[in-house]
Amino acid sequence: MVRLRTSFANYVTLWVVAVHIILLPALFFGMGYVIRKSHENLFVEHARTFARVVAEEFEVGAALDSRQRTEDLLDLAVLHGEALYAELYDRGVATRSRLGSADILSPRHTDLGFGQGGDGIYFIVLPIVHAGHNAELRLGFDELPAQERIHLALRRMLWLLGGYLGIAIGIAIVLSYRLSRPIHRLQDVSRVIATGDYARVLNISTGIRELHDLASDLEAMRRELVGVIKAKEQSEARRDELQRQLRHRQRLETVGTLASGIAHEFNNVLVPIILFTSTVLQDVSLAGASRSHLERVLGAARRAKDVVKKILTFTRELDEARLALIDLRVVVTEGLNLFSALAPPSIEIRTEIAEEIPLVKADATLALHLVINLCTNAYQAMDGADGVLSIGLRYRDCGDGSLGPQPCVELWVSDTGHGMEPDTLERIFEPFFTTRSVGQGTGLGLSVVHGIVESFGASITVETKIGEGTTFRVVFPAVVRVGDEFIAADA
Amino acid sequence: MRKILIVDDELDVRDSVKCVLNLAGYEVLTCDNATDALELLGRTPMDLVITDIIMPKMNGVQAIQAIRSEFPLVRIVAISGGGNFGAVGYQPAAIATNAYLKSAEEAGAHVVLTKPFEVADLLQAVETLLGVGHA
Amino acid sequence: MERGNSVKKFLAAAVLLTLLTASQPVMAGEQLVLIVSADSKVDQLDSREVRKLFLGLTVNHSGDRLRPVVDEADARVKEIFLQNIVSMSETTYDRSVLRLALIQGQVKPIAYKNIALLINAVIADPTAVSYAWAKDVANNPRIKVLRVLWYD
Repeated sequence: MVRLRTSFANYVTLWVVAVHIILLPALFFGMGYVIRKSHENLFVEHARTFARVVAEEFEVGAALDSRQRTEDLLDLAVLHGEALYAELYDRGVATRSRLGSADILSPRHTDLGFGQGGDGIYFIVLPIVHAGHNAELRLGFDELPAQERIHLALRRMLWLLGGYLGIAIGIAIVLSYRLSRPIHRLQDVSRVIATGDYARVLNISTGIRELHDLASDLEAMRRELVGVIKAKEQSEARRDELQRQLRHRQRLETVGTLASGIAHEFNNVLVPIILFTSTVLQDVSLAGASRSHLERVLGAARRAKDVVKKILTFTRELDEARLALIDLRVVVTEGLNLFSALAPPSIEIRTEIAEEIPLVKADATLALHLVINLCTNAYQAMDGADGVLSIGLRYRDCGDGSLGPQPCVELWVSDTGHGMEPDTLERIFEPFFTTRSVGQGTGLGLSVVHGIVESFGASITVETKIGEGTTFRVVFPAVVRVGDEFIAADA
Repeated sequence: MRKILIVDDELDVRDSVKCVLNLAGYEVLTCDNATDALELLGRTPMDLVITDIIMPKMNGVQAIQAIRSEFPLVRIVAISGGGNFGAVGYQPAAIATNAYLKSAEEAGAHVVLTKPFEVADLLQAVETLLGVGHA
Repeated sequence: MERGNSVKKFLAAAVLLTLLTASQPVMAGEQLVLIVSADSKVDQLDSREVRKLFLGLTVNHSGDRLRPVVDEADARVKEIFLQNIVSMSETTYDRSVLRLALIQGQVKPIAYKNIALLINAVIADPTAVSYAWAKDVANNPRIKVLRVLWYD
């Protein structure tokens, strides 16, 4: 069975129209009957009263004394009583008013009600007893004016009912529109939400309590849903992040292992190059050009040695690092002193170092290395253009609240450079990964930073925005002094 | 003439070091593994052993320990290129050059040199151990 | 107007039908007459007295208060009564009677729907005044016909 569905507005309008189609004709005929009856009643009342008055005038007055007076009274009846015709029949003689219609020939006695006889005239025949003999007064009243009044009233009523129907339909349309508009709005928003845009708020402005309550309930449902979805998204995002970190770490370790293997081999290769070249160079008889070529070989081998050293730094050859309790403020200040000597004047250096920060467990030399590497990276990110390099140190609580406060020291270095693409961000800590053109750097700086940070048991995060710059944050677990003992926060 | 034994699995390393030391006036013997080196030490007394650490069969740290116990008079220089690839037969807690060299130092090496090293570094180490002026 | 005419036609047809069926025995020439008991002292009443009487007002005759008896035996008699005796519309008549009854304490005229009962009531009461078709009271020695109220 097919069930027809129509819009709310159409539904209400159709119902109103249907109800009126049934009710209005009934109302019209009912009221028409009442109007007709009351008009007829008035007419009959008037005619009968008037006829009686005239008849009694004939009975008690002297109108019958002469033909002239009879005619005068009959004329008065026509003049004042809306009678079409007035006649007195007395002893075989009919006297008729000449004011009335002349073509009415046969007055009937049977016309007892309005509209009877079909001639448009209401006849009244009254017996008159005067001076001992019987006479008969015959009056004819025009029914047409009353008929017209009835029809006029009916027409007016028809107009009124038509107007009423129009207004009723208008009200139905307006009302149904007003009722359905908030429902439509709810529907629209619900559809948007159904497509996954859970941030849309379900609210409508309506004076109808039921609709308002419905909207509130739906909104409560949406909030519930959004909460569930958000929690799910958060847990998924957390899992993704952990997986990403794991993958990242695994890749770094793989690359690191590979790199250190290569480094080992490379070092072995470099030993004969350096030693043999040095030996040959000791030969004083060596000619100028050959000597200089060999010297360049030796120089290149020494640069290769430096590169390998950097690779090995990344691969956590940091066992030598002597972790001690150090004050990072001293390290940062020293690093800035060194760096500002290298940095071009186009770069403004801002420092924001907290007055008091806890000690951290780190190696002072490596920490210095870390600061200089971060600053160099920041400077290079600005491509030598004008820019601001900020470096800061502060104390903060990096706990998530579940294990109580976890004091940390945060070192940040930010630049106003070009920022990084997500793809780039993903790989910056890999050795040999560089966005700079060949010859401008080895791409080892940030991998070295990573290695150093790892060796300290610290963590490093990067925030970047294309065109706005990048901020590196190194978070060291703070060491808190309890009595005479220092306790590492993340022990 | 002072006798120096070079133990390294890399021919080029052995030959280049030998070349430098020969030019400096030392008598140099070479071995490509620690087992042969110990055997050779048993037959021929040496003044100094320069040994690599990461080697097949027996690694440098074991070799140093053996030399120190069997031939306490022999001076030892440990050399290593480092690396993180998991040394054959030797798995120190921290696998890195410095860790190896540290292990070598702990095992009894008198001097440790990181590969690659300069001629001057090598000669200085050897001269220091054998006493300056000996040629 | 069109409908008005059709209504009129319908009503005309209805009246014609009524005349041809219900009034079949009462052919042309029938009369509605004013009647009293044969024992009544009343010899004649003029139309004003008749009207007053049937409106429920007090009408005395020879020291007796006359008593109206309304004939409601058929609709036609009622219409003639309203038109020719009281000269009012039905509603006005009802209202007048009711008003007099309520305000002046007048007794509402007794009405009979059965003509035989009505005739008996009139015969039994010398002060009663009523009306009936002439044929119903013709040759009834106990009824006195005063005058013709309506004829056809």
